[in-house]
Amino acid sequence: MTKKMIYLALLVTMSLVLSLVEQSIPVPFLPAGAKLGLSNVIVVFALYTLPKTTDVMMIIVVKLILSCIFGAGMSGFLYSSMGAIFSFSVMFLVKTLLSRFVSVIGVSILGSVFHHIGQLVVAMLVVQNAGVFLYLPVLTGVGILTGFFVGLVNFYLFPFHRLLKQRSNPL
Amino acid sequence: MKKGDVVVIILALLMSFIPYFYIKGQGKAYVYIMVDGQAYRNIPLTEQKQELTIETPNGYNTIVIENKGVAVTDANCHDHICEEFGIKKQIGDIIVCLPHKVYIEIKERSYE
Repeated sequence: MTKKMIYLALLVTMSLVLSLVEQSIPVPFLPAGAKLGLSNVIVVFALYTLPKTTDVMMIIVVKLILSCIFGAGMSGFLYSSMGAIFSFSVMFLVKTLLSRFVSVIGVSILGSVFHHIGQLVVAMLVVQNAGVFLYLPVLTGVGILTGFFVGLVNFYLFPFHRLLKQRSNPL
Repeated sequence: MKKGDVVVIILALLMSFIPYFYIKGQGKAYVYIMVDGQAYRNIPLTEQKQELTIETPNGYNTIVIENKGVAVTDANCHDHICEEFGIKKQIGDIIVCLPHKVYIEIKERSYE
């Protein structure tokens, strides 16, 4: 039990470090409000490797709270939480139902795109104007690229997970 | 990469443009009035009844805005063609009174 808790805590920590690190990486083509989302590599990884979905949700919630506290983004909490809800729901559904057709990459892309959609929904409610959605095509384009990258990283991580399980199953 | 991934990408891109078309028709419509080539007044196209008499050097035109439509109800021009236009409701619709040089168009206020 403790072993599992440590493992989950380590996952959350890694995602927090990744989100801090990605702020130092200069990315020329990102529109405002879009990020590389490297921390989501961990979320997708958890989704695919943790047997209990409740553990995955716990990681997401803890990551959400801590990243807002450490990233000085309490105002951004509303956007991130809606984004997380949308993105997790869609990723979970597609992974559970359509795994035959969609790989990690597709699931990650959907997660990224719907995270942005969730954020736009909050933005629309905040400014009381549906015009914010005019930004959607741009965000989606970037979201597809970052989602693709996140999925690709996971694709290369999975063999290491198999190795981890063999050596010392933390779960 | 599986087949479904490509479908996902294409669908996501296409879907991202849907709100654009939905929002296009959402702008507030207003009545744009010009007299003799000069902007005269802009009035929101409302459900509530509004009446306005446009005074021009050549005469007057009375317009009524009601139920999101506009019409010229009274004018002292010699042909009264402006009154024959009837009730205009769509963005882009136009009513003119040539003798009085009055031009009325329903326009859409774009998002700020």
